[in-house]
Amino acid sequence: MKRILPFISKEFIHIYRDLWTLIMVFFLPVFMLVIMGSAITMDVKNIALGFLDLDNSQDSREIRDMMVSSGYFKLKATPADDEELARLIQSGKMKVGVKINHNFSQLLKEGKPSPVQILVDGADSNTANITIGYCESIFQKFTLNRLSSVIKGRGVQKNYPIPPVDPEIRFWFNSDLKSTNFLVPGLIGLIMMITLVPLTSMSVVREKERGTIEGIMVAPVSPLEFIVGKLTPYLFIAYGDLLLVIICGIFLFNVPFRGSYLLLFALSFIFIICALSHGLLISTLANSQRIAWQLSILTSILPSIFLSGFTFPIESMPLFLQAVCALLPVRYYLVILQGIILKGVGFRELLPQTVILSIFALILMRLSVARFKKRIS
Amino acid sequence: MRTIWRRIIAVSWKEVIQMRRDKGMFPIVFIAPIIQLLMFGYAATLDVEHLPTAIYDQDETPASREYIGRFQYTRYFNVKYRVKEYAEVIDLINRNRVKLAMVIPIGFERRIKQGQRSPVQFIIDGTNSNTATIALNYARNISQQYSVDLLLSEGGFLSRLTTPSVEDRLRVWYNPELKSQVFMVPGVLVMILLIMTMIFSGLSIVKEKEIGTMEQLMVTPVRPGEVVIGKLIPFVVIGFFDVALVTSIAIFWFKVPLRGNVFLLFSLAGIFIMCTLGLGIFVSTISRTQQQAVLTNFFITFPSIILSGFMFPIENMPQVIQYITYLIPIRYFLVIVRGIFLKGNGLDVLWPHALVLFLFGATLLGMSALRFRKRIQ
Repeated sequence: MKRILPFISKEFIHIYRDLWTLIMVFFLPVFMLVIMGSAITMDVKNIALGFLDLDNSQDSREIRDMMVSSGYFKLKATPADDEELARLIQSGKMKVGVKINHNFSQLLKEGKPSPVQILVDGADSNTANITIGYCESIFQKFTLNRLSSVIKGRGVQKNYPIPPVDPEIRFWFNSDLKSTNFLVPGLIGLIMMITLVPLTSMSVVREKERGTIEGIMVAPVSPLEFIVGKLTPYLFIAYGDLLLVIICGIFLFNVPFRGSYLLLFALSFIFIICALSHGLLISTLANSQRIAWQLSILTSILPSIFLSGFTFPIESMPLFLQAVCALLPVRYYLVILQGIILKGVGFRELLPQTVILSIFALILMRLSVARFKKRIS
Repeated sequence: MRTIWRRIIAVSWKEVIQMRRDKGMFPIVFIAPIIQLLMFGYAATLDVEHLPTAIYDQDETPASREYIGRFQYTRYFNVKYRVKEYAEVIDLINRNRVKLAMVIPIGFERRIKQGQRSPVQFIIDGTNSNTATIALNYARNISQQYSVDLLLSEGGFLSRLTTPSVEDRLRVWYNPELKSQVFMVPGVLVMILLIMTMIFSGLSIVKEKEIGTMEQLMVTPVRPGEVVIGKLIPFVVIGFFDVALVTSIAIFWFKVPLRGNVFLLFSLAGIFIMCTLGLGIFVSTISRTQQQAVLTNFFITFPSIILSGFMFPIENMPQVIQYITYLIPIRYFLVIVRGIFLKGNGLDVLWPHALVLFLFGATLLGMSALRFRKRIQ
């Protein structure tokens, strides 16, 4: 311990001297949270709508009004013909075009199905999917209204409510569906990865690049002491960032914190061990800081955005990728973060994740330390 | 003039030799784009499929079973649990086993038969607000369709074909199958150019400063501008190589259509590279260590990617943020890349974007070159 302490303080002095790095390390999480929190609203609203109404009847206007008053669509243009409609979509001014034919209300009066054409810019498949869903929902509602009035007209005594089957939908844990609520736990995982993996692996590789690592190796410290000394400051930085994101989330974006702080800090330790070992492992693979950084991006930062379940649902991914996801510690950490912060669940519910994360931590730690020792000697 | 080129090529050659010594450098040139393509191609879909679902059917009547069947036989929901108690529903959601639970109350069928509104309870895990919104849309549309069919049978109609209803005739442009790959994969071009030409090249300049070899280079007859150009050339070559690699994989593996002109794509990528190199040099002038450079790069790349419309549509962002996105070069390059790939746009449509991109590139490159010279002297 006596020999490790000077090491820890050496690394602290290094980081402290590099004040700019320190400022960035603590400013980055706040910056990311503010950018993402204010920019990302996943709900699709105000879709640019072009409405080509050849019928110009009460029915066609009703459809238009239903679309506009739903809040999902914003009427951007009323083109006069197909060509204009097509041009508006090509130029990107409009994401969806609805075309009502001449005989729209005629067919309805005759009691027949009446086609409405929807033209969607499908380039962004996600937005397009949601748009189509909204259109269908509005047309269904229109149909339901029509059907019930026809049924009444036929003298059926029962008075059907619209819709007869009424889904009452409740959102748990995030009743207003605020995107910041899921950004905060996800960002914690991401920020931890950024501060722990590339920065630590680069700081070890830097000693290689400069040739100072040999100097340290002839000093009377064991490789293990070197590792502990080198990595401890980053542990503190990681906890600092964790606290910072939570505080900003609570005070800037009113994100709830429903669970136990103590539990979060304790379980975060296991993840931090995983991430630090990951960084150390990379440092044994890379000779230069740029390679260390690139490996960190590919194996830690990108996966914690794409494969952790943070932005994209794991269930929708192909099976081989789901298998890859299962091998990522950050995936389990995210369940823990979401569980404690948003759901307020306790240790009992998070036990499986904790066990898996601990196994990862043990394996990664042993592997990286063994490789590091072998490299050094 | 010839001597200038000789000196520049000498510096480039030195950079290439250093790259070859740097174990892992050449594999990275291949592996980085492939890993990114995997993630963007297979993971980056916001669509919801196989959402783990629990069902608590209190009614257990033919009607309730039919209603449930509507949910079972879609790709959106994966009915994993049938439960018999409300407590189980809560537990499954708390433990993150299901994202959606459906509770059908007693009297579901009776209410329908009596012509009363028949409620069904849906509980959706709102942790990820996007998944929740999409799940809500699917659930609502399936339920409405059930209502429509119910009224049809109650009203004694023969079929949908003889009833007054609105039918959608859907046409999707540019991406008829609505595959998210078609939208996401071309975007990998942007990511790979950012990494290879902006961050990598910047790091290689900072490395010389960090190790102290920059001074040595400066006392040679090579001028500062020549050092920069010489050092950047190999990365530009790598950048173009990766553009070709990503484009081929996109076309032949992911079957993304390339409807426009390949040469236009490559030349406009060249203009985008002006921007990334300019930013890379700028970062190198304000960073003393590679760690600093990496962190500074995060401050630039992170908001650029989030606000560029890469993953999250700009139209959904608040108005103020939408104005900020005009300052982001990636925004214009993304429109160009997706325009050429998906819409087959030519320069006649894309010239405003190309022009803005060029102005950004020239300004960034010029300003950072000036800054670099000042720093060196």
